[in-house]
Amino acid sequence: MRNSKITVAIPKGRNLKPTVELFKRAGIDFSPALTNDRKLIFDDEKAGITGIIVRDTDIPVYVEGGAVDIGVSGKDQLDEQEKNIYEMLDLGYGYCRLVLCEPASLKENDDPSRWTNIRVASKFTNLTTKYFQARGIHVEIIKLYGSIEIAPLVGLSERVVDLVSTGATLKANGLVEVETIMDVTARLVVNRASLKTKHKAISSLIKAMEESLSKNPIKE
Amino acid sequence: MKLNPTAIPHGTRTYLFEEAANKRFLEQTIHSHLRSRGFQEIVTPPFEYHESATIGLREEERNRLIRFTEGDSGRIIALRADITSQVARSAATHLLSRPLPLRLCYTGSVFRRARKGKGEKFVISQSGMEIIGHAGEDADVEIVRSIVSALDKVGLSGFSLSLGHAGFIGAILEGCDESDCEKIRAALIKKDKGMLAKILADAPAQKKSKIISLADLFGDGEEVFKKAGAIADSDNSRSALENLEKIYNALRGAGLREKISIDLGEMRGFGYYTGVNMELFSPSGIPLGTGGRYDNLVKRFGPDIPAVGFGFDIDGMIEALAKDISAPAWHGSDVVLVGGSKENADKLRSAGLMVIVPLGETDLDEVKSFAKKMDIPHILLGGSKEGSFSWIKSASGSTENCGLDDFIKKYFSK
Repeated sequence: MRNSKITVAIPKGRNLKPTVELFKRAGIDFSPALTNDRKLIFDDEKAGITGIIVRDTDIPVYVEGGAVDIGVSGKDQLDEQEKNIYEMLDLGYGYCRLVLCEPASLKENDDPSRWTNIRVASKFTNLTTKYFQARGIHVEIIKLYGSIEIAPLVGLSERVVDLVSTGATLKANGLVEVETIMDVTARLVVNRASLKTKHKAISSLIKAMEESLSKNPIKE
Repeated sequence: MKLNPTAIPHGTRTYLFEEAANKRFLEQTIHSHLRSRGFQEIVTPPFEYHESATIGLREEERNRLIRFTEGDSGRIIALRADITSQVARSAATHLLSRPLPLRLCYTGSVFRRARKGKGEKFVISQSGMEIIGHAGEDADVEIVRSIVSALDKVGLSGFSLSLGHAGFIGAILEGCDESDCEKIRAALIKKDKGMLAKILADAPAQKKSKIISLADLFGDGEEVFKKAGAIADSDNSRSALENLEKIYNALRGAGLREKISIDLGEMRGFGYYTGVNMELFSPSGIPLGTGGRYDNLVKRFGPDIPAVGFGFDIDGMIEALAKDISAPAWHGSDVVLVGGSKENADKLRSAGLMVIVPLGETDLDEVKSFAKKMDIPHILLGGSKEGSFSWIKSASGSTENCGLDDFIKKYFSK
């Protein structure tokens, strides 16, 4: 897929719409992606840019492997996967937090400063491990791929580490926040070699986005 | 649990036939080219005492060393993660009485624990060069010229070389405390200006904006040097910039402008770089090697001698050879000789052909199928008449009669 054209990985899901808006501001039209949810490749022939629609968790992989030059990825996935790519712009949208939660009943008498050994269910095994290791706490991680909040209810783990935006899911499952591990927003990521070999096109794209965002942030 | 004897350690691989041939072709071609420029080969041991193996490595790289202990002494030994520091040690010891500069080259593997899910290799094949004992830009330029002409020799004329300067970043970061420096380095590696702003929240405004602007200092040389000139406000930063500009201008003069981009915010690779650093990519973005100036490394072993070098990543080159250029036509052998004499085989071999003589009883159909499966284009079938052979082409199956001299002539004429 790599030639002098620029290719972009756009995330499915929550960040799709603001990302299409972001590229629109830089003069690139991916709006058909908003209405056609079966097609996965979109060309803006006028701008000479191709967009592919992929799962947000896969975007760092596409960018690192050079399958695309640019992508939009959540900071949570970037820090979880630790890919060797540039994170050039904080796009401001896609805000949520990675938090450690536990059942409200547990929280009543819990003192996190006394933890030495805990069991946590999460998708984010790397971030969770690092977070607790740095505090000298042994953590046993139960890797799940979805419905993390249910783990304490069925006794799989006492606690969970997951993304929270409104907190409604937590509340519905009787969980409360204990600690925020990180704040998350979407980032513009760039393949390392692409930035060297196509720096003119990529720099001007980033500059257009940066200027537009500083005047008028993208809201969801 | 029963161990599976066919399993291989994570991050290791085998090179079969064509890949092995490409690997040898690359190593051989790079080596002969470096020899033709006066670089002399040195072969260093695959492991080292831990104290030596860690010289010049950052913490992350140190954590990836493969360690074991020496039987008698119980001292910790590590597989080498870098050949340059070994070469530097040789320069500081065995080669101390030789005139400088030394031009040295090497081919070998380095070892780093491969982390799962990262596509990392445990064994990394490198071919590299070092010029030890020359502090001027001429040495840096000679390294780049050697890279470029070696690439030309292997047929990779399209490439892109990114140049940075450890001394420039060092000068801009002067006065930052060490833990901030480490954080700044991590953010610079990602060109994450938001993170830089956060780390430098309490720093004086001017210093903050200077450091943040490092992340934007990439692109065409002229443009970057102009922007960098505006933030170079110390003797060290100015002289680093001047140094890189001199190297860049010399390379531009050699017609390499289109292939070179400058990135003054790059702060990766070994911790021992002090001056220019280089990162080579194929047209499709495959990393092909890294290098740079390391004026303080030899000193770690004794004498204070400046040096610069570069190492090709052979696996990257193999990938680029397959992807970016049409590799030379490859076949397993040239000829299967059936029913010929030892003298016939010798004659073909001394003409430069790769000749297989089947072992034991042979059936022509089997030979044909063998030749096809092993990518051998020709079969010569002798024995019916003195000096005359049936020449069968494996691909088409077409047959003609010819003598050995005739075959050799036709083989090389096409």
